[in-house]
Amino acid sequence: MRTPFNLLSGLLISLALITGGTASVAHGALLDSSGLLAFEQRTQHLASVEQALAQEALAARLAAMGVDAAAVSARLGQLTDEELQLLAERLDQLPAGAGLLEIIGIVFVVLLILELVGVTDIFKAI
Amino acid sequence: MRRLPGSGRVWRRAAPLSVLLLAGCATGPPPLIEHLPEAARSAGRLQQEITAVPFHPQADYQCGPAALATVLGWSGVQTTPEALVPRVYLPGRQGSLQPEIRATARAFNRLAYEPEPRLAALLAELDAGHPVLVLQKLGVGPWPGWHYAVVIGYDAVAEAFLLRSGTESRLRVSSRRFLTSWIRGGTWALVVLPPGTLPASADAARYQHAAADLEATGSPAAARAAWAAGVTRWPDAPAMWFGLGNTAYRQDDIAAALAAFQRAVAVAPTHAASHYNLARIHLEHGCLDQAKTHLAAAEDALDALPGLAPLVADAREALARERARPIAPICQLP
Repeated sequence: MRTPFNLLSGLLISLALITGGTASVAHGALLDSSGLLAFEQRTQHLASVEQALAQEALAARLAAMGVDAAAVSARLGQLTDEELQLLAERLDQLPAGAGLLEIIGIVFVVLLILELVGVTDIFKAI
Repeated sequence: MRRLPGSGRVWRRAAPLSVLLLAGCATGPPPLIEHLPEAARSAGRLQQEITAVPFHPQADYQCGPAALATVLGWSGVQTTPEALVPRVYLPGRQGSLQPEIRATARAFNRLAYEPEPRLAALLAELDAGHPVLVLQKLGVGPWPGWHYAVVIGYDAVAEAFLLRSGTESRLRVSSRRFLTSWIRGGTWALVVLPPGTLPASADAARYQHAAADLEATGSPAAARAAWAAGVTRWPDAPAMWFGLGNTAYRQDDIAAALAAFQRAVAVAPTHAASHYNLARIHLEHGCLDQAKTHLAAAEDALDALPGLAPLVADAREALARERARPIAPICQLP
């Protein structure tokens, strides 16, 4: 039951992305500020087809990395073209802030401080 | 200018922080006071703690959602890490990625501004009362220990920073330890501001980028507020007026849009993009002569913005089609 549903929602998301992939160069016929920036920086602005493909690729990878199907489209929708490209290309390599090690680090530091403080107190007491 | 004991020439000169801290291994990091904004120094504000910053202890690997909820809360968006997890947490990486953190801040109609990767910019934001989300690298080798935390203050007397970090509501870290982890993490920082509030360390190009991103993904009203603040701070920067024009247009405020684009070409007569948008608006309103004038101006300035050429060519064709109508359209501007 689960797999067909996931497959179906995946297909629907892809379809929505392909058909709804908006061209961000212009609203109406005007050039928007992102378009201006892309031109100023001489970066390639994504054509709507490329953008739809990048979205589709990223959607599949986000889903493969455990993101809920329902959340995938919201996550794609909030990205600029630049971010979309970056994530589509480097989802595996970008630093993923987690903080596990820090907890260990803090425990260690706290223990160390406690020990130091304890030693000092004992030392004073004696 | 006051000279501080032990302040070497090197520290004041060294611009890239990484170089600075590399050298710092041998001689210790520079005193924070040297990087404080002049105003803070002369007013003797050597310590700062932004207390009106909520604290969300992180669960599991979720320091990204916790740190983001913290800065969003300060900026007036009441949310929780749990509510942000579906948007910023990536289970397959057991963490959160910077672009998604930034994008989610914008999704709440906040300006997501990345200050310059310099200690002075970090201190300037803190001095202005803006908490700063940072990425730290606390581990080594196969355990990089990437971690998001929120810097809420500094202490230039005791050389320390104050953080909301992980499960610590008020973590005091020595300046040396913090700066090392921040630089190892890429010296990345993010300020999340209500649109209309300028970052203290604002650099025109970085601000333009942040506001353009908000324009692309946030509400037109939020982006318009950001551009409005931009034009007050950089009245001579055509890109700010250009953004203001675009967002006014998106809100169907054609008169304001025209005024803003006209300001852009007044401060920068060869701003091709503004001429192009002016041409488009005039074309839409049947004002073919003005459209023609602005198209010609855009064409003359294409060398500086070659990417615009196909759009200008399209507009030329649209103009020709309008001209070919049997009955000339009536020019009506609001």
